[in-house]
Amino acid sequence: MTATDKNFLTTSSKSTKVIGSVALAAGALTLIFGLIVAPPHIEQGQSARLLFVHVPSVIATYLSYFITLVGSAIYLRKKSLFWDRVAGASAEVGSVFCAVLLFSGSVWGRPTWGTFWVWDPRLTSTAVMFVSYLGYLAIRRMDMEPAARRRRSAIVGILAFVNVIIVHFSVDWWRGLHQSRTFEPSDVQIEGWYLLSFFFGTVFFVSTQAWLLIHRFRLSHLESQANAAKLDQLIDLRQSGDLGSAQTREKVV
Amino acid sequence: MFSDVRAVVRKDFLIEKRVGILKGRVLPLGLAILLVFGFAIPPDLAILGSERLVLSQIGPGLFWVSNFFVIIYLLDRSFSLEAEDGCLQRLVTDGVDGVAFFFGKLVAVFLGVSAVQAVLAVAAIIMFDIPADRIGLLLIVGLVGSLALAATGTVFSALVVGAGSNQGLMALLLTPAVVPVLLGAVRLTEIATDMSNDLSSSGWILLLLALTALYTGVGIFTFDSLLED
Repeated sequence: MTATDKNFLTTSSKSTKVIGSVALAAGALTLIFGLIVAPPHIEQGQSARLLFVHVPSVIATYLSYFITLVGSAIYLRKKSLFWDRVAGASAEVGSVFCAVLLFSGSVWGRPTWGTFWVWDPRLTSTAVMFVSYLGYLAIRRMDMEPAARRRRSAIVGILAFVNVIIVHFSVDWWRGLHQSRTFEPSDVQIEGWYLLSFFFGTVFFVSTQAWLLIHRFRLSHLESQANAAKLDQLIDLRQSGDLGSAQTREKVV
Repeated sequence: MFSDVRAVVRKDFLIEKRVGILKGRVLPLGLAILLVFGFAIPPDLAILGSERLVLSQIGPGLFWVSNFFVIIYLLDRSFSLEAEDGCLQRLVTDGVDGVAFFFGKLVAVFLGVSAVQAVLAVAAIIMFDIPADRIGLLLIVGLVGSLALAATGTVFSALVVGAGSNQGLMALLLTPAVVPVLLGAVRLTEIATDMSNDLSSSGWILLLLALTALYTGVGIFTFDSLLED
């Protein structure tokens, strides 16, 4: 394998290595401070430690879906493949974090509320948001002409962001079991070791989100290059008259 | 533009007259869904201290959920016909613009779902023993709710038209988008059937109208480019 082939096949770079290292360090510090140093909460006991996973996963989800919104809007305006791939990659990463936030919220809810799930406005709207982005990802895999598919997914990428706004303000608009926002820049409700653990948790989730986003973006770029290369090969074979053999076709496809 | 809208509505009306999808498939599907709900929830189940049976209390919700399934089928049928044999391309080459096409489909879907809904409403009132004294408000709720459902559904159907097997995909996209519409329609129906303590219906009607306006706006801005696809 030549050096060029190696470059073609990798999604790693100096920047991803740095971001990955930051994520690993922040993850380790979150574990140390969140599980060992921070004491159990006076009211919630050990389950309060889930705050260091749950709230940062919310931040990573919002950030990812916001990037999808921006990418979709820019794609519609400039028809740039770069921004379409950014939007798609970010929605995938965001959905992973959204699944983490739903799961961690359910695990926290069991000892606190006595149930894994309640039909609370915040929980329900988060589940709706998750499903709407799964719909966005499904539309990206729709079997149709690529430019049309990109345009339609960009429209859905913009429409789906309405759900993020609804989720964020749901605790203000409706009364439910879910507590009000944990972290408000103007009114920080946590302090001491909890604040530090929360900080490391946030750095871990946001850097992991950036790391995953870059890798997924590069992967989709490589996928399209590989598809184009396959197409070129098939055209060459057709021109040389060798496409009739099933073995040859199988080798290329 | 108005003649284009009328032509699209007339086209759908003629297709319905010849094929009879609404009365032959969509309406029976809606009735079957209502029947299934009747089997899923014990008909004699009542909450302690309540005069009404559970089926009667949650009847408005069941009615709108059946409407939701009906509209998914109706939209799929309506838009898959457009994708067949290059119908959409023909409309474009005939000079029908996207906005006129959007309004034509919206009106056709709205009329179709309203017709089916009228029969389903009578069936639900009888089967679930829903009080229907405030007929005027129920009519308004039905019309506003159908309009909001039709506007949301028309936009999302257009997004998946032309894709291979799009029924599942359309349901996946439409379900989260239609949640506020269903929420508003169910609350309004509860108010109209005296099942809610909330006496103010204007807020919910405004919500449904705002959603209709939002999705109509999205349709106006996107249908031209979607037709070109």
